[in-house]
Amino acid sequence: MNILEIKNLTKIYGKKNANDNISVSLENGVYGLLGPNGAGKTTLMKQITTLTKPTKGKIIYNGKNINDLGNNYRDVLGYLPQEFGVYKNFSAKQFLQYVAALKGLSGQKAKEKIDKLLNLVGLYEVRNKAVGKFSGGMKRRVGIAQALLNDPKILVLDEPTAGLDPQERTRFRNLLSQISKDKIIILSTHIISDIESIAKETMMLKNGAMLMKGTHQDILSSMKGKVYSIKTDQENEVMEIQNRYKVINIQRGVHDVTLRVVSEKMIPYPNSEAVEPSFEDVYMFYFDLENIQEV
Amino acid sequence: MIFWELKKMLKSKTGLIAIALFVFLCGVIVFVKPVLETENFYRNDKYELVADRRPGEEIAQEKFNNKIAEIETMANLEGNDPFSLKIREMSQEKLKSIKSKAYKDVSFFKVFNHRAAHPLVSFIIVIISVLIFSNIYTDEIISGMDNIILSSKNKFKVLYSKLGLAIILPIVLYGSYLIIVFLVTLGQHGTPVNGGFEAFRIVDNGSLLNGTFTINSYLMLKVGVMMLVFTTIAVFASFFSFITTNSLASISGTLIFIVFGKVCTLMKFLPESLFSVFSKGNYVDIMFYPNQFVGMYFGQVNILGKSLDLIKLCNSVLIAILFVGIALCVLTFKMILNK
Ligand SMILES: Nc1ncnc2c1ncn2[C@@H]1O[C@H](COP(=O)(O)OP(=O)(O)OP(=O)(O)O)[C@@H](O)[C@H]1O
Ligand SMILES: [Mg+2]
Repeated sequence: MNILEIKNLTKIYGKKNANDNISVSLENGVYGLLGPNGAGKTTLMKQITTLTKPTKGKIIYNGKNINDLGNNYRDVLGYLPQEFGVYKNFSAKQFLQYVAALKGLSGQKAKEKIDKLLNLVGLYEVRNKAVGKFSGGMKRRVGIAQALLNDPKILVLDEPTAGLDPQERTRFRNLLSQISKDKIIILSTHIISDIESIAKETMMLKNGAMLMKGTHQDILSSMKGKVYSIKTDQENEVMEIQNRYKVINIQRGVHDVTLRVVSEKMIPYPNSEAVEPSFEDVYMFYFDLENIQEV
Repeated sequence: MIFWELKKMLKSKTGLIAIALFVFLCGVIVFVKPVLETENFYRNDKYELVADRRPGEEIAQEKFNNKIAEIETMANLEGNDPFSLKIREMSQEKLKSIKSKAYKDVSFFKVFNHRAAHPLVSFIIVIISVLIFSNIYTDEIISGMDNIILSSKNKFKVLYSKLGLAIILPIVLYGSYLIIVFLVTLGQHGTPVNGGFEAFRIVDNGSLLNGTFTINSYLMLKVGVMMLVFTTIAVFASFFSFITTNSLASISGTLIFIVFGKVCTLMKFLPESLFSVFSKGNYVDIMFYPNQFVGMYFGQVNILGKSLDLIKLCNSVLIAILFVGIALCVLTFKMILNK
């Protein structure tokens, strides 16, 4: 059994509801956590990783409050924080040895696991180099490796792909798909394509509250028939459309302009047609910049 | 986890600075030496420093006789107030316990005592402790490892290792220093002999010693007091490190803790008993004038209608502060770092 239930979770900082009454139940698989800056993704993750306690509500792992489980819960946890740092003078290998000790692994088992992970994240060749001399993406890969050391049942990754090059990102996605069958993986990102390609379900956070949770199909179908593409060569029409509708994208061609808009109703322009919604549309629709409260 | 904490220390800049300071200390201390019992210097009418040219034994015997004479004077002190009574009793006990009225060679102990609690030593060991322990947790925050530690299974082991090191490391450091000093002094002034004789033979204001210490027991007490001071400072440095998020704040907190007692002696309006405790038992004065504190008698204070020996009270307070520091750290682990 591997079930994480979040019940009416609220976290208040001062007067700000960083998390606002979030309830969700998670099982094995990859969950994408999507939301603009300040939406409360990191706050939610910090509660799942026991770094901070909820103001209200609780988190239940396999029927028991994680607060009461304590170290037994942390034992099955893997975490890559958003602001992940390393001991600059440690080599990649030493660093992983240290984290292994933190997680209570030792001896031959730890050694094998470390070598395996170094290979997996493509750092085996540079394992004896000081981590301080690594590039940003390489450090992040060390971060991914350390999170996996104890074969966590719950893997929490706060923007793991930030700073990875496309090749590494692909490698990372494949890695996650491989290991996700017996783990709950929660991953926050701003990179929509990450979520599109690996997440079983996506949770959208806005101003601390859970806006929606569902598979891509669920989320995209909620937008079906609401996304239109309008072609026009009249500059004043462009202005008008921008005023009347939620415009997601404006593409200027040589002679005309193509606008991508979201609308509940049919669009009364001659050169308009309904198009397949994309994840990007969903994101832009819900997290329209004007609607985001200042943090 | 203690092993890893040490490894982190040794790989950090602070660790290297600490080692450099320690090596410097051991190098310098070789040249630090008190005026021996067998030596005497005085100023002549032209205010030049001249050395007494008589044989050492003779000088030493004269100094020893003077000390005994001083104790005899005090043993015959007039007055019936508690202070005079106590001084009289102390001095009479001391006279009774004198094993021999002849000077004994105590050069080794004289020098060892001087070096064991020299202000330079205290100063450097405190600097090392503050540097290391004020950063013991803030360094984790700065390097971004705090969240990984706090979400790991062994988080409490890490935290308690840090606290454990704050208690042990100053003792180990000071202990190593004492061993080095012991060997150096052995080479320079011969073997430690006559340690079973009276402590006032090597202590300059020995007539104020509270009780009949032997040289050995006096040194043991002194080392104990110094270890207590160093450990307490390291524990509080760690405490400030645990509750702050940058090393500037935590070092400031520690420094305020160290000078707090001394600063309080400037507040003349404090109740007299409290004032006495602060003026004798503050860390700054103990570090710089340990001979004015360790094993001494400086009168009584009245607390809640009870008359207590000031220095003994200070010692109890110092021990209590150490335990308060440890308790504060443990509380921080339970409450703040587990919020
Ligand atoms: N320790 C804290 N004290 C006070 N306010 C905080 C604290 N941590 C977060 N907040 C506030 O809570 C809100 C949510 O922050 P959080 O870091 O969870 O956002 P996020 O979704 O992770 O954003 P980002 O995409 O930028 O990482 C923000 O308004 C932030 O200012
Ligand atoms: Mg965040």
